[in-house]
Amino acid sequence: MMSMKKTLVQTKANTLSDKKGTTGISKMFTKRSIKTFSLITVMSAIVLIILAPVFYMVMMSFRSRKEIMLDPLNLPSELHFSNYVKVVQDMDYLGAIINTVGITVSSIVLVALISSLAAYPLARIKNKWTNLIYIFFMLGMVIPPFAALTPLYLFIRDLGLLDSYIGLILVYTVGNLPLGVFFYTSFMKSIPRELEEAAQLDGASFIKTYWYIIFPMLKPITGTLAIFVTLSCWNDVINPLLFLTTESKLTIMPAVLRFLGTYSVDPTQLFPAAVLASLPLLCVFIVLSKQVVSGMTAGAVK
Amino acid sequence: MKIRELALYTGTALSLLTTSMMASAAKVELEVASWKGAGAEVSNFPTIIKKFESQYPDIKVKLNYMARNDMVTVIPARFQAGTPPDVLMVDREFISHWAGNGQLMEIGDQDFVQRIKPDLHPYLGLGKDVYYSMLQVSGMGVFVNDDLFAKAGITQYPETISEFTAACKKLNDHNITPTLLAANNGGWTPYVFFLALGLTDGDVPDPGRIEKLATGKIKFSDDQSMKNAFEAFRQMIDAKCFNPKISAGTDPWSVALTTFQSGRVAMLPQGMWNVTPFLKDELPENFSFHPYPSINGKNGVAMDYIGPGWSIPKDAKNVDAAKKWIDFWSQDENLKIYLESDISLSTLQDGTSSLSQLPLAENYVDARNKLHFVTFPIGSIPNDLVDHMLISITAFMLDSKQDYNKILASWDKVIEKVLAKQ
Repeated sequence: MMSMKKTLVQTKANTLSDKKGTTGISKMFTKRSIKTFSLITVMSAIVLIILAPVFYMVMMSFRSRKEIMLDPLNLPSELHFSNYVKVVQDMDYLGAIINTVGITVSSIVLVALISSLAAYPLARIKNKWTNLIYIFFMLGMVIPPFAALTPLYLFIRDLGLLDSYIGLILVYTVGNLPLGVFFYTSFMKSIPRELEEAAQLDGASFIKTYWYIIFPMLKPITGTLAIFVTLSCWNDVINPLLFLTTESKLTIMPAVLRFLGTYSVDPTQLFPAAVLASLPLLCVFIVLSKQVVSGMTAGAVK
Repeated sequence: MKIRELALYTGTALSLLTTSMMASAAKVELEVASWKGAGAEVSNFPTIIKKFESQYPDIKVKLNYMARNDMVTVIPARFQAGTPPDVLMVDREFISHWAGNGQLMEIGDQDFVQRIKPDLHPYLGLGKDVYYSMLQVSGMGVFVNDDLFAKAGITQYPETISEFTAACKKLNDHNITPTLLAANNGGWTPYVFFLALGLTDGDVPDPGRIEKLATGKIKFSDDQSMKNAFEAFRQMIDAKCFNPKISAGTDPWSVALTTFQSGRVAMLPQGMWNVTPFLKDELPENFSFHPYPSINGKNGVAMDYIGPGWSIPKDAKNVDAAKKWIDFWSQDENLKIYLESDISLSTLQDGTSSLSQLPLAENYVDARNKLHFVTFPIGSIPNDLVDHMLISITAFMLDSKQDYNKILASWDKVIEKVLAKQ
């Protein structure tokens, strides 16, 4: 009898604890669902806010001027591909893209190479001189670009490189060097010295150690730097306008800005031009999205 | 035989190459930096350049197009490097900076300057020195949607502020928004409207007034015309001619234009240069261009906007070619090609003005011909005061109950400070 009572009490207790547990789990589940739902809602709203202007730009690029004037926020009644055809013809699209890609890639290669070479001793040798040199590089980041425009122009003129691609590549390289040195120096400090010591034990020279051991390890941070350099070259207007005077040498952004008049705007030209200008960059980012994200988060977690 | 043929072909090719190289070497490359001529403002430049190059086969024009705002950054660097373009498009503001710095060539002795209307000569440079050859006189006034006016039963464009407010009432009665005084991006449109009202001291305004105001010879706070201009703003706001808050937040260069073109507003104070795109779009279907209504006279007042023109930098490499370029533009047969696409008034004596040929601008041209016009004072008002005026006029628009005498007194103080610095 006693044992039966015990079992009954035990069963009751079990049932009670089960009920308690189920309620706890369901409560937790509901809490988590609400949290997830809210997060998704907020994130979706942010994405929508970011994408809305892009969507508007694309939609407008297919509309006629009259349609835009009469109802600026509506969708196109029919797709006016002729807007794109006209813009491609007017702006020498292919030429501008080739120029931009050439200049951008050359600048990335030069910045990556020179700044990583400069950063290597700065990260490894610690004394007041390297600190001073590092600060000197960092000063380059705080100088407003407009203040450096005239000295740079004089410099490029004296080199006889005005109206040449090399001149503009040099300008971008010089402009992005401080950023490169900053990125690489910070990153290299996190690379264990033991790796270099092992290479030195195997008889590798300073340059060999750099080239075979250090440089391959800089891949993620080089990706991040490449993104920054690409954006600064791609979106720049002033430097191409100043250093290039031949129309066929112009990069994409000055070519797009031609459709923006001083006192007026023709949306049937400006919108397609803006879409065309951002398209190659968008394609690159979609194709390389994984590398871009890994590059952006490189060094974030040690 | 084969060797002979080869030698012959090589010789011919070499001689052709040499000839073409010599020809290209003999050609002068004239670099023209301009904010018109491509993109959104082609302005018939390709036709004019082609015509110029056929008249001067030894000159090849290299048009360096850039937006006006980019010129502010790019050109000074080139001046300092001693490698400016051969010809520069400039306006009064650039003249005051670059000619003031001694970076432009004095061209007063050139024949083409004598072809420009004498009343425009005071605007061609600094003091007695001439630094640019003006291409056009543009203007500012009020665009009217004729269909909306007809719908509201308005048959005549208002010439005075009282007629203007009466028109606003009629439009409001028909649920039509009368005006949009777009003030975003610096408050430029109300500033211009205000100047048109305040600089007019009668039906034929005194052109020297702005000089007297800017030099402190006339005090803003003592000037009845300026006080009346504020009164006019107050009357327009009271008559609901425009919504001050909506106007203050509207961009004059994009949203205001589309709003007017889409028929959502009956009147739009704006620049004459919009005639061309409005005609091109055929929107609004029926529109006309008029002088500003007057508060200090019985007739509407047009506002001249001294247009851009050509100048030669002091360090230009190809000065002769540059002079030929300007001389070419200063001939009516060539200038009118430009003015056909950029509707405005010719600067040449007996020049062909494209605006005068348009019935839609009849009222405006008539006002101008009767000397009912003032000139937009670029460079005449000190920059400090311009900034102050822009802000205080928009502020008055948003709170029209404030005492305008205090605003006018503050303008006098700015003038005093500027004069004290000199």
